[in-house]
Amino acid sequence: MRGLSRTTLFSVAAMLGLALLAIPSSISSSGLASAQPAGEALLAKKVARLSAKASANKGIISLDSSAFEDVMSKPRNYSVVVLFTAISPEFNCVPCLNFDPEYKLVASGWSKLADKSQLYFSVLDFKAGQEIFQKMGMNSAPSVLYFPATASQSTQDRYDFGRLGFQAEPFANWLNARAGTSIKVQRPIDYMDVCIKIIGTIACLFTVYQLFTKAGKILGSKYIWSAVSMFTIFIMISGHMWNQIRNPPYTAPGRDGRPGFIAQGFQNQFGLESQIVAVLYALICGSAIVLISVVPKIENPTQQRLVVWAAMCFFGFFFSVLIKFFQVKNPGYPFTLLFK
Amino acid sequence: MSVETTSTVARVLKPTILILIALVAISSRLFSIIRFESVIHEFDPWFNYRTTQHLVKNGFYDFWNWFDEKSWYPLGRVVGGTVYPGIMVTSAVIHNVLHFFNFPVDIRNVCVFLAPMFSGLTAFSAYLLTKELKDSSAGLLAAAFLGVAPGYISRSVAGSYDNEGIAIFLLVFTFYLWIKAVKTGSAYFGLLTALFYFYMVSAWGGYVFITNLVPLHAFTLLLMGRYSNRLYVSYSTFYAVGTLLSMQIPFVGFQPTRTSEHMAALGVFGLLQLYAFAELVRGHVTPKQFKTLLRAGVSAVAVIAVVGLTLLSFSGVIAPFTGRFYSLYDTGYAKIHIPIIASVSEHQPTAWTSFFFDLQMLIFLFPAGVYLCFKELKDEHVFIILYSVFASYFAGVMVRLMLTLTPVVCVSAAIAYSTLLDTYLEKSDHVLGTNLKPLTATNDSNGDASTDAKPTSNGTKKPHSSGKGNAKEAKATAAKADAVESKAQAKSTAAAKRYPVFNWDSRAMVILQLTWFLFMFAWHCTYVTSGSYSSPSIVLASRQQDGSQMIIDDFREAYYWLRKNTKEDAKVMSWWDYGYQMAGMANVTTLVDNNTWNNTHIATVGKAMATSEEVSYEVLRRHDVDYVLILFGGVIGYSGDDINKFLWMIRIAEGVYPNEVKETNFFTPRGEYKVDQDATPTMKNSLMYKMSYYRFAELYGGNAVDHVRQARMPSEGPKLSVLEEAYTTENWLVRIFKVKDLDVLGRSLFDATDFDKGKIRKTKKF
Amino acid sequence: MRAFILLSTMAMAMVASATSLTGPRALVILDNLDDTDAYMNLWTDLQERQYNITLRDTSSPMELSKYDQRHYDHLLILSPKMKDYPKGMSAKSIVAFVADGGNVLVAGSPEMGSTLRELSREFDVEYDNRYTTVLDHFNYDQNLGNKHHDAIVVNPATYMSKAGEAIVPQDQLPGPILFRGIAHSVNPANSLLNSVLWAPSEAYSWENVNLDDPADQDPSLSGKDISLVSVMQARNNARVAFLGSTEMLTDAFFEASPKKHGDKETISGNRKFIEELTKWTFQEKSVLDVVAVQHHKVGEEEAPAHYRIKDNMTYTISIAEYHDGEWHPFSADDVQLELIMLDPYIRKTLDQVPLDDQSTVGTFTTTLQLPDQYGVFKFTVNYKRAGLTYVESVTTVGIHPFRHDQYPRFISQAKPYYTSAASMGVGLLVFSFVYLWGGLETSVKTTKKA
Repeated sequence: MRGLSRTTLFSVAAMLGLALLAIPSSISSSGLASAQPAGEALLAKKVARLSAKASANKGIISLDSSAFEDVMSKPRNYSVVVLFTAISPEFNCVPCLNFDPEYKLVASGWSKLADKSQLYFSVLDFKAGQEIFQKMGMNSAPSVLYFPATASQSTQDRYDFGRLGFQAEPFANWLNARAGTSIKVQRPIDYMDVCIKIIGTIACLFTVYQLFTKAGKILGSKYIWSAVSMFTIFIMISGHMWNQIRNPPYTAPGRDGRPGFIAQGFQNQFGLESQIVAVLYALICGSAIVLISVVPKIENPTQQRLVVWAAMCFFGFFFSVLIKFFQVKNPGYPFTLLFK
Repeated sequence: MSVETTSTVARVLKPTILILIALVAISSRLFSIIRFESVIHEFDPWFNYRTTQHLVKNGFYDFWNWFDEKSWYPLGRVVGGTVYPGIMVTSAVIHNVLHFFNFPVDIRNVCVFLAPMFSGLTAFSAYLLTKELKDSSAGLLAAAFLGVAPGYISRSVAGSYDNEGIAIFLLVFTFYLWIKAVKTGSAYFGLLTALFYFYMVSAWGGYVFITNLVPLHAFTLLLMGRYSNRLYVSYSTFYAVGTLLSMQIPFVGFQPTRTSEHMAALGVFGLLQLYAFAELVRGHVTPKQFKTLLRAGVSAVAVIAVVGLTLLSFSGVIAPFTGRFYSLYDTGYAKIHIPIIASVSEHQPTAWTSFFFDLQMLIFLFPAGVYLCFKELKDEHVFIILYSVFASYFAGVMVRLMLTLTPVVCVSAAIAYSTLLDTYLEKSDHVLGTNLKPLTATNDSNGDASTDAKPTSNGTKKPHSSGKGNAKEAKATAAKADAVESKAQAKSTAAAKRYPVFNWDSRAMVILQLTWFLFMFAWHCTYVTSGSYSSPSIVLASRQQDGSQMIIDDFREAYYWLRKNTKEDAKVMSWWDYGYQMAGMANVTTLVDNNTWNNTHIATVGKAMATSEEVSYEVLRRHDVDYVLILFGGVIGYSGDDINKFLWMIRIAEGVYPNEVKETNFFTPRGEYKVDQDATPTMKNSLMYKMSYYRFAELYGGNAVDHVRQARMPSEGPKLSVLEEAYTTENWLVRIFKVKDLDVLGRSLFDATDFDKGKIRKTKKF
Repeated sequence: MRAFILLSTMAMAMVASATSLTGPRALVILDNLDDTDAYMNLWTDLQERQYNITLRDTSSPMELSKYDQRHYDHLLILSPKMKDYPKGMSAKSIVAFVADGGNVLVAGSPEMGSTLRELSREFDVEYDNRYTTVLDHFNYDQNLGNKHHDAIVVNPATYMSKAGEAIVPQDQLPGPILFRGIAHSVNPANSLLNSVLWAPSEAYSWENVNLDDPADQDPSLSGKDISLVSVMQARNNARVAFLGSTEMLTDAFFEASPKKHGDKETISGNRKFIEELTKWTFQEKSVLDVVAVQHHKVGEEEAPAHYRIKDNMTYTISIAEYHDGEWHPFSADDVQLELIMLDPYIRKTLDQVPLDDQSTVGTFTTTLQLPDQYGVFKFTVNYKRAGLTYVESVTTVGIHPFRHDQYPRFISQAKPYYTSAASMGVGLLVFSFVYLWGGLETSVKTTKKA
């Protein structure tokens, strides 16, 4: 009995509440709208706005702090990809610049697809939205976050540049995996480039055909081949492939501000460093070759003596430089030549 | 032949020197035994050792059909079909021979000393190889270099019982035989090459280097218009016999006919046949007819080849490159697609320091040697050039392949060095006596350059005149032919005006310095060998503050504990690095080991390590795991421990279970990999983290510091419910945990643990 | 009185050993020893079944086990009022006692203290609040529960679970079961736990202090949610029984003649019920044991070290059941064999070898072909039925691939290759003959040149 009365009471209250809710909305929106559709209208507006922005700028919305908040604010039935970057030159953020076109590529790939309402690409430059950077605890640019439609700001998904790299394709795959989209990356064909290539090849073939015998000579001349292969060897033994794979900075500012070109750590190196090593190798090797094949061709004894001495000094000097260099990398190394 | 061979002294000296070199090579690899004891090193050697024991005990056929139930539980591993049996068979044979002559040598010692013994042979074969290229003095130098070069010692010290130990010998010797075969053009040497190639195939996966380098050599010679019956005979013999033999190894099976790695060899074989056929035809028809024939033939062959290859590769008859090899060509590939391969330390690229560290002065004498090879460009020199270029590329991509580079570096460095010595040691009067005709050093080379220029030239003249603007080969060969001749003249003229080094002082200067560098090289090698390459990573040595040496023997302690305190079919889960050691030393059943053939299984283990207790407990139960073994270096600062490897486990697991394991969850929002109190919750809940730091804080009374990651740990350590600590070694390096059984009263293990801790359950309604 | 009991136990102990598999030593804990006389029938029943009973009250110190040796095999806790455990005993020690294979019977009552509640909570059994009783205004007994309607008459035919049926075959009960005590509920998630006897649908659980005041809220438990008696068989097959009332064990209830309102008098089934229950709990019946497991290839006798893929093999398991003091052949038609490597590869029902009169064990066997998959397989018989001991027999066997010489040596597909090889050989012979004696000077010359 008592229970029953309670329920009735409750239901009455509920009706009242509904009525109260209904009144303002019915005033504001046209005719017979209720509380729920009001929100939807709001959302629709926002979506329209965003789509406009996106289509204005090749499918990418450039944000600032307020715009970011607006995009992230509920209600939200769309997912957002935000690229936190620092394009402007004073930061000289090289990866930012590298990744920017790739990002645009993916965005355009998306805008080619139908139904853009569910995913938006946006860029937030450091200058435009510093506080957002602080708020999201960003201490590195570029970084890409993906905010799924359903979840709040806290649950975001970060694109791992370190592992997947700065190319457009892996990024697109990553995004497809997250957002269940099917974005394909089509790199625009650079006609100029193509033309140049075609013409170039034709020209080459032509020349080859013209001076066939000469070309044969060139191809056959062992000096070219020796030069090529020696060059390759020098590049390789000075750790070029390491640079290829790990792509380290070319130089890095040292302690006293000057650009230091020797990386810390035994298994670590800079681009310049390896090149210096290559040159050292080349010099030493060169002096050895001089000693072997140039010296015996000189018939004037004094000249010959001079050359021998010079070459040998070169040899010794650069060898000791090399050892010194190595010692810097590996402080425990006990042997030295000239420089203690 | 160079001067000194004529004297009888040299006849006595050379063998003695060689023997001495062998002795040096062997004895410089014994540091580890003197320091520690006669033990097997590292990881893979333990598997080889275990299999060798099995082979010695049960004989060859049983070994061949061995199905190992103790590894990769519960999948098991078909050992016979998945190993390169060369090294095991070798040491088993040695063992049996010794026992036949009643030398009761323990198989362990055979295994331990195998690599040093073979290094002696390697030195010898280096001598032979270089002798073919220059002369015996260079050969002796090469032998000496290769005997002590750290790049080779690194994988062949006593106790590192690994395939490379014998494979390098086989590599060098096979190349020697190949060069010999090309020079003499005898089917006999071709056959020997094939035989040793077979031995190589049975010993090491690196045989692919040979299968690609030798055809490349043949092909280049073809392009250079140096086709000769010698080449034809030697290569055909080598390829036919070698391939058939290599297919007898179960692990290789039909790969030579299917995978892309072997296609080059096949292609060159076919090409040679065609070329030979063309040569034959030319002998019988008029040039005009031949021209048309050649046109038709070449185009037809080209079309057929292209179509056939594409069809085959698309229909999947020819498999694409296997991951490991592919990662050599596209260097970024492994990093993204195959974390397992990328995770292995010896698959990392090589920094310049390691080049210098492993080869000291050889590394810059090496290009000089290559230059000299170019100067007198005979078939064998072409080979050395190709070898050096490609080996240096591969060595740059993978640290591990320094091994294949080292021999050629030693050889060509020896050539350069000995040429220097020749130039500055030659006797003046002898020179002056003969300064009109070329020096003795280049005499022989020049001699048979002219002799073998003959067949080449008359072999290539005609296609040059006939096959103009035709197939690329024809063109190239024509060009080469001219090159060859011009070179021949150039050389003769160059050799004509060659003067000795007149002044004794410049001679002295050069010789003294070179000798000094030689000394330095020897010191360097000894230093590197004793310092870096002679520690059997199962026993660690560290210096304390007072400089006294402290031996850390935790691994063997732990494995011994496992061997003695677990039931013999106990299943122990650990990261795959320790699989072989556990199987070998602790004789327990392992889930995964260093033979990483099943990515999924490894990923499952990674998942068990990286997920929370509830999730991983299911995995553990499903695989009947009794114990979990981990490495923890936080106490003594051993940086190679599991927390540092953890990221790889996560990556590999994520590859297979992307929904359960996410790498990003292990990084703090600021993108750092932390283990102290700001570690992410996922990190803190992961089984690996809990095991590693379980009761770690207690050890230091609340304020513990991880000495590897220099992190101050929270005073409240993690709690374990589904595992209980079974054993922790002296320095906490190895920790073993026992997997609890399901609760007797059907409670969740968390409740059970709480109850045992004296916690009272809250009342609840059902 | 007590003297007599102790003497008699002595006598019994001399006469024979208990029919319980676990052993004869039973420890009974009472609130105080004066309650002893209330349970005379129970004692005599137990002694007839050759238990030697030690009676203690909660004040006297006692140890369940020492140096990992159990002092007792069975523990009857008839001391619901117990404030805290006797010296040397604790919830932990009792759980350890069960984990060690000891059997326990716990009886509660409305005055039940927190100690036993916490203990039973570990078994996922939750007794209702203190001073609550199971009340039923329809099925109360007119003699005992006339005042408060708290002594209720439970009809086993309707209110006994299937598990209970397996434990106490109700056709043996002479009449309904009489109950007065506290309600408890069991965790349905715990598969080891089964309630044997529910309260009637009309019953509910309520404070028994001021029963005359009107009820102003819903009862926490009512109807079938109330378990009166429930049992757990732990993973190690130790058995534990929970009763809602100590009184249902007393002589008064044993000898009572329950009479529901409206229908005629019957005889109480309590005595028989308790007898069967204790028989089950103390492992006197429905205990299974795997006597032997054999497996071998078809046509062989010995078990091989390992099998080969696609072998035909026979698997046999012999199970015996214990009741009435001796082992009998166990018979069932739902014993299954599983071949498991991570996942079950084969699941097959074993068929029983027909029993003859002198067979002592039930033998189940099957013949099957092993899967075409090598690895380490587990032959598992995992037979868990309510009331019976869990049978879990695991045999680990390796299944190996073919040996190198077990493949066919000559296959028809390879005929072209055989012929080509043969022709090659022949060709070589012919060629060399021609070459050596056919007198081809030119070819000789060329080879010289090469």
